[in-house]
Amino acid sequence: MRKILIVDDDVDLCAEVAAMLSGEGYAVDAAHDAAGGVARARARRYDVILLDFRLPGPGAGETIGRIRAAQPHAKLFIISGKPLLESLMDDRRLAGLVDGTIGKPFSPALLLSKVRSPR
Amino acid sequence: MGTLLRRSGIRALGDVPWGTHFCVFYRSPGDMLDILLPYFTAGLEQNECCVWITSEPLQVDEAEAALRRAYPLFDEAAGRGQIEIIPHTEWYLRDDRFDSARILEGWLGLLARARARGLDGLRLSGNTFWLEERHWRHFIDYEREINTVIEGRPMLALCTYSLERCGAAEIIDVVSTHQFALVRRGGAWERIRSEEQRLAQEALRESLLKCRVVADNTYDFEFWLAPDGKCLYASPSCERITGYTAPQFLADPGLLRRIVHPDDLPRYDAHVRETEARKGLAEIEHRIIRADGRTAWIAHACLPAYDGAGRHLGLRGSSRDVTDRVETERALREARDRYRTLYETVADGVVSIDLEGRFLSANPAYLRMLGYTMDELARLTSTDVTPGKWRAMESRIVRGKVLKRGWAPPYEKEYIRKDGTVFPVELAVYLIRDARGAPAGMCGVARDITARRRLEDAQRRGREELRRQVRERTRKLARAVRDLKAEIRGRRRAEATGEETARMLEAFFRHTIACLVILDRKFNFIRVNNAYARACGMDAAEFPGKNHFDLYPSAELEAAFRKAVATRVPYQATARPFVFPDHPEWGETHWDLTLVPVSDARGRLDFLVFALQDVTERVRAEQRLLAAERRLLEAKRLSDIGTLAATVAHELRNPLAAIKMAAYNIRRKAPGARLAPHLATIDRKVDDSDEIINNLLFYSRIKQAHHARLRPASVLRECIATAARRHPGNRVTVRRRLAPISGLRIDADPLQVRELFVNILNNAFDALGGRAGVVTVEARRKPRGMVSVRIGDTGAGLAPADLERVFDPFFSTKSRGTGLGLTVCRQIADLHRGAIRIESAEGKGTAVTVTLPLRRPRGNAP
Repeated sequence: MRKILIVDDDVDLCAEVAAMLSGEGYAVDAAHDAAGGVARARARRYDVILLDFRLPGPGAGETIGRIRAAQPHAKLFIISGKPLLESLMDDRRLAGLVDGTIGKPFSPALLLSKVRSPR
Repeated sequence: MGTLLRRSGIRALGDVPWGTHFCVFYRSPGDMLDILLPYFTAGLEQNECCVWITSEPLQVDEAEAALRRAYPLFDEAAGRGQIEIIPHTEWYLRDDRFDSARILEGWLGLLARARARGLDGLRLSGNTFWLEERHWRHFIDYEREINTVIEGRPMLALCTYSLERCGAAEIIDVVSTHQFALVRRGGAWERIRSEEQRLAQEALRESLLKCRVVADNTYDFEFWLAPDGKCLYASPSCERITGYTAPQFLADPGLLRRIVHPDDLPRYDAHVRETEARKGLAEIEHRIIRADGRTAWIAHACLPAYDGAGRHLGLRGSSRDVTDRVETERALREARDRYRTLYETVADGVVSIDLEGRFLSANPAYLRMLGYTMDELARLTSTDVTPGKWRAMESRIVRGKVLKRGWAPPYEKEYIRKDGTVFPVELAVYLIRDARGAPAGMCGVARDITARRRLEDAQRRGREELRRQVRERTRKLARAVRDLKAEIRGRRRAEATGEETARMLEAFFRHTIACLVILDRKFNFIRVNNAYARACGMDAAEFPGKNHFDLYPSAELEAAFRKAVATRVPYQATARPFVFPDHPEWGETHWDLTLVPVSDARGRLDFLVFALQDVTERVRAEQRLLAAERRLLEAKRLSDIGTLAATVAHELRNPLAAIKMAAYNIRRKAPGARLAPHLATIDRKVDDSDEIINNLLFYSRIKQAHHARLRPASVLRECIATAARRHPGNRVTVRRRLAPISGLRIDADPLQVRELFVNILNNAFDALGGRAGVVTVEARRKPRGMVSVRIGDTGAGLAPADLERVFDPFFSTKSRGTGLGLTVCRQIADLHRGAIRIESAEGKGTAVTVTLPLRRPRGNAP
């Protein structure tokens, strides 16, 4: 079973996404802050990681770096309601660490297509 | 060089230049006359002095007779001294001695005399029949010397030799000392020339040609004046500079002086005298009056000319047209004077300081502002006149702005006057650079803003003050009425002194600028004063007997008046709006009102004093102020929206994402038709919310377009699909005509263009409001590399008043939405250097046309 980690401080959103993805046959873990996300990433191997850009805890860049170090093979997406999310990928360093962005509010179809896309 | 070439009169020769020295070998007196008669006739005809030295075989009287026959005007010429026929014994062989120096001087004397009489030059001929062998060497030397004397002078010399008397050696001598010789061969005269002479002649002609080319093509006006002032040469450029032609100058020796501007003549004459005295280069700038009457400035230089032998040849002059330069200098001088005047008289203080802040210069306004003299200021630095609290800020501006980019926008600070008082100024500062571009100092323009500050304070206090005044006036009026009552009571007590008071009150009532009305308890006019009548546009006599509320009906005011009558409490209102029923053209007026009920001694209501003040102007000013404040608030709100929007977007999109996911999960867990429409509503509303957030974000951040290649036809198809999805269940027919742009690619920001079309399409769908209708999307190629998309609907259309405002932010005719959709559309069109236009007819529909350039225009977007 493919494993997905979602890290977002919106507990409700995590629950709904987890419900949707479990329905599609994925095993979903959730974390609600940066430290929790990094701990999860270090504990278990994931196929896909959905990471909110603004999390309680250290800066986004640092969190992404740590998670990527722990999960070199996972597909890592930034999920955020931040305006102009796409422009994040203009940052070379960040673009080297993540596989893409998914703007909130995303549709289930979009999320599934991203999750299923090959790395 | 017409003046230098002379007609020789001899057919075989044609024209010869002055300075020609040639000879003729004759066999008979007939031969001689054949040459000499036309030679002299030509000379006489050309205003030359002719001198003929005769000897055997032709005597003086024979020569004279022959010439008289050839030239009928001989006697007149002889009378003027233009022709002299002299026997050789009186010329060559005086005292039987041949003295070449004496003879040469004689020729020059004759030339001088001829020029003095106004003749052009000297044409001479001498016969050498008298020559004996003992004279031969001397005479040939003399012939050689003639060459140097004659060169450069207006002289022609023709020597006649008898062929019989010359041997071969003599002929060679003669030919080599003359420029050429003429001999008769078989009836025709022929030129014989020595090789040496021919070469010299050719060299001369060549150099003459060069001189001529140079002279005739000079840009400046070059001329040569003979010692007697006659013009010998004028370059053709004279016509460009003076408007007169070269022949005019040659023919008229006085012209050169006559064209000098009368005001400059004394200087010009002094210059001429100086040139003659100095024998060196002399220059002058003077004006001339051109042939066309215009004035021109001439830079003139001249130099006396001498030949190799030191003989004075006259004056070489050169005149250059310097009108443009002189005019430019004058304009520059005037501009400088004007700026100087501006600098001296401008109300703003202008000051320059060096980089250490030492004062270098200051205009009178600056000195007046600070109360220093320039000498006192020169000993100070800008720190000395700046209060301590401003110094850090000012040095930050100087370091951060002035020194870096060369200027600083106006900022406010304070100055300390010489007397120690402090006053606020607005100061703009510019960097002064030296010739190498290195910073050398600063220039400041200072404006005393004390008055402006006072005005701003006054404006701030103004409205409060006005309110206070209204209260004050009411209080005063109440007091006046109280006093009046006391007065009336007093009058009743003492009728005798009352008369005086009554007169006083009457005068006050009549002449005060306040509008005053006395009403009875039923609000009938008893009296009005002139100020009131004027304000109503009527005569004071028209009021008595009429009822106030018949003239000016107002249920509200009437109720207020009744209450005042009932309670005996004065009624008071500020800025009450009122429209004169008989003068609607005055528009809405505003009045401060006071109604004071006056009771008699027994406490019964006696009459009412109604005082009014027209405050329309004040209210209008206040309204303008309020409108300005509202605009300011709006602007501030817009800048706050930027920050707010970014926060809201982020905060709101999280719950929206959760809602969307939840709806999906419900649909999956409880499939069936019962919940489906509600879940669809949730989905749609989440999309709507997201759209609102997008517009808000878009509006609040003016961002540059990120251009990429896109196919507008595909984008439009997608956008139509998106809009149709958002308006499910309606009965809209979409007519697309995208063929004209199918396959076309444009440079544009894909996100922005999508935003643009989606917004317009959503409006079109919304306009139909669920009714059946048509949305038309037409695309066209336009000239000048543009593409246009027209999106029309058959909806309700917009009222003309609304149409004007559709691009204003926060304007919306819809209950839903931010009122930013079209604002954003226009912003996007502008960012792409495109345009957006809206047409609408109420009940028929609306069409929005967007025009975008195919290629990204150069330069920055606005």
